[in-house]
Amino acid sequence: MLLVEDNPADIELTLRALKKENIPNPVDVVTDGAEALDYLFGEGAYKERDLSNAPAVVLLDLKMPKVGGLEVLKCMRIDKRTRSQPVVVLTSSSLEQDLIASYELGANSYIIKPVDYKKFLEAVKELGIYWLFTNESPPNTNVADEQA
Amino acid sequence: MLLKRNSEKRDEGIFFSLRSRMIFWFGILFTLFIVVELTLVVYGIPFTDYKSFFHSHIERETFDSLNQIADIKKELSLAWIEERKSDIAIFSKNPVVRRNLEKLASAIGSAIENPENGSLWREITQEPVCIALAEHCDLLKNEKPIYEKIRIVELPTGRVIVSSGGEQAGEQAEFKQALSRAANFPGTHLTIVKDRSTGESVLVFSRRILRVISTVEGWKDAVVEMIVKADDFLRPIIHTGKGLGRTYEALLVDADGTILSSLKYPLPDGSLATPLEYRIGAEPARLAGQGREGSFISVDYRGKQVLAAYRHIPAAPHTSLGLVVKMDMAEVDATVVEGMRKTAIVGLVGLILFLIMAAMLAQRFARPIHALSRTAERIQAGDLGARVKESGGSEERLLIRQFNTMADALEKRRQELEAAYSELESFSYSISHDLRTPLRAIDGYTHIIMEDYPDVIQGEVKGYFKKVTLASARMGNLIDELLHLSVVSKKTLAHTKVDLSGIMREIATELKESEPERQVEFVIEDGLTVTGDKVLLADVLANLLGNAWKFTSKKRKAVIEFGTAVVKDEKVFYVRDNGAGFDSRYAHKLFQPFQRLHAESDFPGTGIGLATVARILQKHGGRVWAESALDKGTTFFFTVGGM
Repeated sequence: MLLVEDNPADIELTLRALKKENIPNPVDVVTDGAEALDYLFGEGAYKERDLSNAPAVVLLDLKMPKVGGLEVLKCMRIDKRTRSQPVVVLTSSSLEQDLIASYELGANSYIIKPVDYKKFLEAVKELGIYWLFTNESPPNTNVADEQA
Repeated sequence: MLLKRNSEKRDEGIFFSLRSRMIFWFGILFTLFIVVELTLVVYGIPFTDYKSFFHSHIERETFDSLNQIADIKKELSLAWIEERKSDIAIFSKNPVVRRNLEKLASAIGSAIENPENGSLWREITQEPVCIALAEHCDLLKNEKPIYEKIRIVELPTGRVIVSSGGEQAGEQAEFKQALSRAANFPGTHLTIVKDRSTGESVLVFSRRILRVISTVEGWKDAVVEMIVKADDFLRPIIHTGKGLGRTYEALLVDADGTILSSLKYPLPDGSLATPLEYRIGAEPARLAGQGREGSFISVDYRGKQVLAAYRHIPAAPHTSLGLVVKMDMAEVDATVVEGMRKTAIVGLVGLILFLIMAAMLAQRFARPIHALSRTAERIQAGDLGARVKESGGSEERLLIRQFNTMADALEKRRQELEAAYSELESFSYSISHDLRTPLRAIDGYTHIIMEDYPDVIQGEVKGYFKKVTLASARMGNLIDELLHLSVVSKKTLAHTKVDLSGIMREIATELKESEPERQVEFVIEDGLTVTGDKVLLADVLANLLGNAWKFTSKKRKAVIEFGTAVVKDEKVFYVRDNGAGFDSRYAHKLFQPFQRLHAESDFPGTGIGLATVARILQKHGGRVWAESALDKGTTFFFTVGGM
């Protein structure tokens, strides 16, 4: 799982929530959009990353410095390597235009982070279980494409 | 050009354009003026003596002409008669004629005594003096061809002595009256009679030449007769000359009224009047015959109304003639009608020209006004940049300038408002949005502390921490509702048919399911629909019903109603509950954000719900208000704009 989130409190709460629900999967964290793109496309600091090991799901915040969430999403959907990558937009924004834009750009899901901690836990648990276990991820095509 | 403008302008109901009004009023005034004038001019004032101007005028003119003609004819007649008189006077006073006649005296005397003896008369004609006389007559006749016959006649037997007319001496002369007049009275006499042999009328001028007071027995007088065909007098003088229209007629009568000239028209019975036989009884002829003179409106021999001028012609002693010159009133009337028609046409043309002018004038004035109203429309429709071009006179330009300035101010104000508003929007949105994240942290970490250190966090401390989480939860609610309020304000309304009754029932069902142990009776009126935004109106109903649900929570049997009522001639919706109610002294605070009229412990709530309700209804063009009393329940009334 890749968590793209700039707020440290939100990062800590999310990770703690996942741990609490006993979701063992490793979680990588990047704190802004630029770093997210580097991670996803194997550039910059993540040059050595094995792209075939794509995350099962990307949790994407929208309001971030440098490169925003929607921008990241757009780039992801353009590039063949990340086009089918499941993305869940996890944001505080309840703005209709953010909702519309996210889906239009190809987000798979949109979740508004609840203020209430208990509800927040619940949301993270559900999404974790769903996207990591219930949902079938698309097969890894990265390596095959490169070789072709 | 005028027509194109017409199609551009739009009438709204009974609002008439400046042009139409001007045309209308000017047209009315002008027409009124013309009509009144024409009526007076043409018809005069009815029931009074004031005759129409036209009629009086034409009458006057006609009389002037008739009088003129009558005078001329009279003069000509008299002059002509004088000529004849002078001819006959000269002849009769001629000493040669007299002497010759005297020389014939005894011969004539014998002839008279023996009337059957024709040879006696033949002898007389042989006499040189007689021949001389005859020649004299012939000479005169040749000199003056007007005379048909010139002769000398003896009295008392009335036999011709000499004649230019081919009569034999001794023949009996007719026209006894002419002879006896001449014999018995001095001067020239005129006698108008019908010549039996020809059937024509003749004028017989007669004058005595000799009175024989001699020893000759029998013969008393010699009279000269000069005879003129009546026609030769009538034609040049009576029947010709300046005429006066179709129905004009001049006629001559004697003292009795017997016509001397032939009449232009047949008599009422259709027959033609015979000169010297028919006697006119009509007034003009009668008066003329009586020797009177004048002009007036009367009735002629046909019984038709005429304008007549009549004159007296004192032709000779014992012979008075009357001259009548007349014209039918009908012809005058016809002329008047013609004049009327011409005036009416002129009036009509004038009216049309006037109306066109009025229309053009009005168009002139209306142009700036139209420009103003069109631009105002455009501005209202949303084009705030629209301005009016200056045109017209100084007042119009001033108005236009002021209008444009006002529009400028309006545009600027609108822009300011829009800027302020959008600023406010983003402000309120980002506040509520950005407040969430730290709030999550507060709530989150508080819970983590409680979870991770259950032994440490106990009792009073735990209680405090719980209060922290409650407070942050409450803040979360507030933020949500504030956010909702700002979203609602921004949203543009959808316009669909919304079934309020249906929505109410759904909400009622949900509420009942959420707390099934509560006893609540819902009375919902069926079939209530309005036009508006379904989502927002559902919000309103959810809010109001939610409130009702909340504030009846302490009542064992709650009753919540939804329906329509008539308040001050207006149809309104209402939601009524029999719950806690509120002190109506604070009713004005009800719809302001964050104002609460109950303690949080009694009835939880943020105080924003009703503000949202009010804002939504206001956007629909409606409004909401409430009536209540403590513990007596509450009724919320609302309208949804164009229901």
